[in-house]
This record gives sequence, C-alpha cells and structure tokens, in this order.
Amino acid sequence: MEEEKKTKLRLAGVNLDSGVKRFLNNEALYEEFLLKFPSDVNMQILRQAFEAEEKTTAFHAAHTLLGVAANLSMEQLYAALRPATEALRGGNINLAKSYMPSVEKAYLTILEALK
Amino acid sequence: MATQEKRALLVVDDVELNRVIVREVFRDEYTILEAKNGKEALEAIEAYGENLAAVLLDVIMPVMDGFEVLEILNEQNFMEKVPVFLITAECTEESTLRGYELGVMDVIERPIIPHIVKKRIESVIELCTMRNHLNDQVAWQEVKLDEKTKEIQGLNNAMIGVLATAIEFRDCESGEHVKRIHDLTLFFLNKTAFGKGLKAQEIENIATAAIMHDVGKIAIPDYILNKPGRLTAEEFEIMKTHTVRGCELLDQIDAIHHNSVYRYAYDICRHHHERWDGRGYPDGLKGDEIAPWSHIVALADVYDALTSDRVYKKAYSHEKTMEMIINGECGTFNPLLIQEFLRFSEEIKGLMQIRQSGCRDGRRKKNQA
Repeated sequence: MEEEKKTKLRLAGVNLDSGVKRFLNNEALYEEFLLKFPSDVNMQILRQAFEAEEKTTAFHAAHTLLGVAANLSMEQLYAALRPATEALRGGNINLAKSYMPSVEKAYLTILEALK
Repeated sequence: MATQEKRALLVVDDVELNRVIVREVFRDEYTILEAKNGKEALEAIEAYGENLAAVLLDVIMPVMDGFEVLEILNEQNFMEKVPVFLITAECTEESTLRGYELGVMDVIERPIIPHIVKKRIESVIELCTMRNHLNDQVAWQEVKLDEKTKEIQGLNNAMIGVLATAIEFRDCESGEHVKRIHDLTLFFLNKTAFGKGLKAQEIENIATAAIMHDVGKIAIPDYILNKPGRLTAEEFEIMKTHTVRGCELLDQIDAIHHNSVYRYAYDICRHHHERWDGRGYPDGLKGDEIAPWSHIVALADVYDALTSDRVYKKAYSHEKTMEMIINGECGTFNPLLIQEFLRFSEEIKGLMQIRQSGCRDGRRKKNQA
C-alpha cells in the first residue's frame, strides 16, 4: 500500500500499527481486508433500518460493524459507533440516530481514504 | 500436544474478517474449522464432538445466534468436555453474565489482541484437556475397582461356600444342601412380602449368610452328628448348642465383623431353630421377635431336611413335606410364611428338584451300620 494512502487512513482514524499486529504482522492480509471494507453491507443495512425504524436489524448491523471496525483498528469509527450500538441495544432508536452524523463522518472519511 | 496430530478449533462468526483473524492466530497449532452461524456450528459440533479443542463463538449472527447455540450445548452438557468462548464486539455486564451462566469459559471482547487471546484460550484448553484426562482416569479406575470388588466378593462367597460345605459333609449332607438353603432364602426374599424394604444387595447378603446357618456344627462331636438313631436327651442338648457355637465362631474372626454379611449370619446361626410359638432354642424367641431372615432359613432348613435323605430317614416327597409342615409336625411357623410357602409351592418344587441330590450311598451305608 502506498504511503499516501496510509497517511490518509491514519488521518481517518485507522491505527495501522495495531491493525497489522492483529493480523500477526501479515501486512498483505490486513490490506486485503481494509480494501474489502467498502463492500461491507452493514453500513447500508444500518441506514435502511433507521429509515424503516427496525430496531433489531439496526442493532445487529451496528454491532457487526462495530466488531469489524474494532478488528480493523478503525478507532474513530469504533468510537463513534459504540454509543450508537449501546443505544440500539437498549432499543432507543432516537438516541442512536443522534450519534449517526459522527458515525457517517468517520465512515465516509475511511471510504475516501481507501479510494 | 505438539507431537500429536493438530486438534480442531471451531470458529463461529458470520463476518469473514473475524474468522480470518482467529484463523491467523491459531493456524499453526490447530486445524481451523469455520461456521457462519449457529446452525452450522451445531452441525460441526455434532460431527467433531469432543475432538474439538475449543469453540470460539460470536454472539450476534443470522439464522441462529450465539446464545441459542449455548442453550443447546448447555442442555447436552457439551461444555463440560469442550471449552467454549464468546467473542463479542461489546461485553455488557448482562451478556457476559448470561454467557457464564450458560457455561462458557471466558468472554472475549473485540478488537482482539492476538497474543493475549492466544494465551488466554490456550491456557483454558490445556486446563480442560487435563481435566478430561483426569476424569477419564478416574472413570477407568472406578471400573477397575468395581472389577476387583466383584472378584473379592466372588472369592468371599466361594470361601463361605467351601466352609459351609465342609461342615455339611461331616453330617453326611452334600454341598447341595447349603446351595438349596441359599436358593430358597433368595426365592422367599425376592418373591414374597418378607423381603419388602430390603435392597437387592442386602437380599444377596442374607442368602450368603444363610449358607453359614449350621457353621456351629463343627463343634459337635461326630458320634452325635452322625448318629443314625434317636439322640438321647443329653446328646440333643449338645446338638442344640450348634446355634450359639456358630455365633462364637463368627465372633472370633474379627476381620468379618465389618462385613455386612456378618450381622445376618450371626442372627441366622443363632435363631434358625427358634419357633413361632416360642418353644424353639436357644433363646425361645416368639413370633415377630424372630427376624424374618432367620425364620425363613428355619423353614427352608426344615423343608430341605424333610425332602432329603438323612442317616436316620429317607427323603419325603415335596407333597408329603408340605403336608407335614402345614400340620405343624416339624415346628411352628408364621402363618403368613406358610401361606406364602403354599402359594409358591409348585415353583419351590421345581426350584429344588434342580438341586436335589441326597447323601452319597457309601457314606449312608457306613453310617447306618
């Protein structure tokens, strides 16, 4: 991965050092999953679930996305998703929605960096 | 473990990324099996069973989630053998507690830190492997111990049999006599209300004890024991002492005092000549004062004496014997016992015919001479 992309990812709150360690320093494998991230459907599902007010679906999608963000060391996205997921676990969809702008911002920044 | 074939580790997660990370961490030491949901996990567990080293289970999955899997595994007691870990993006107090209650060994939060997770999981796997090994060993030793106990019991019974038979031989009764007493006692305790409340093992012990009922005869001189004619009053008094002499003999062998057979043998030795009307010996016990096992042996002994050849008489038929017992010609018995004896008359006749054999002719002729 070129340095420029790495810098962009770092700026998007991705901790590349801790991430690559999670893959036991297998940089290629980590990269592979980073590059796959834009095709992960959970963000899409989460947005639709908010539209349709489907609490359970929203919670499952947020929770899964939280796990992915954690494992890929997307620290900003993880930090933004965490309170939203917790709110959804308690069934409080409106509270969860209030966290969504920061989630969207973190998410889109990563997508931009990965282009 | 290193020298053996790789063990299997089951990773259950609907997100490929999560499975891949776990695979990377454990691929060198374990064969990694993957399942995308709870249903697939159960299929893999069904197939691999206790050969799995561990199961790493995600909580939120489509089709069947982690807790549903745990509930099923809990019912099957699977987690007593194979450690299961929950891996989840957020460990709330509630879900962690629920996991532990259902039997998981540990709850791990994402993002996982490979080296720490590896240590945590491997420690538990090692512990469980050792525990299972220990359990297997204990189970194996229990089987061995059971075999030994049976062997000793068998030997014990054989020794009792040999001793009793040796004594019976002296007064010209074959070893079959003690076997018949054993069988009749067993039959009565198993078939009639007289054995109610007694466990199968206790009934066995009583039947074994019954074999020893005449052990005191070893102290009776030959000329009395084998006298073909009627005993004089004095001789009969000596003959009667075989009951208490039997108890004295048992008393002198300290080693058997803890044996469960001893309690019954002692009572049977002493009281198998007591009579329901209180005119028996040595203690003149009456009615329910006589323990049922001693009373049963008394009846069995009378029945067997009448239906067998003796130095002073020929064998009576089963029917004649029954008649004599009912008419009170050979002692008095609990009417309920007589009633049961009549009820099972045919079965007893059949049971005893198998074992029927009298005194050896040579001995009888010699004794009668």
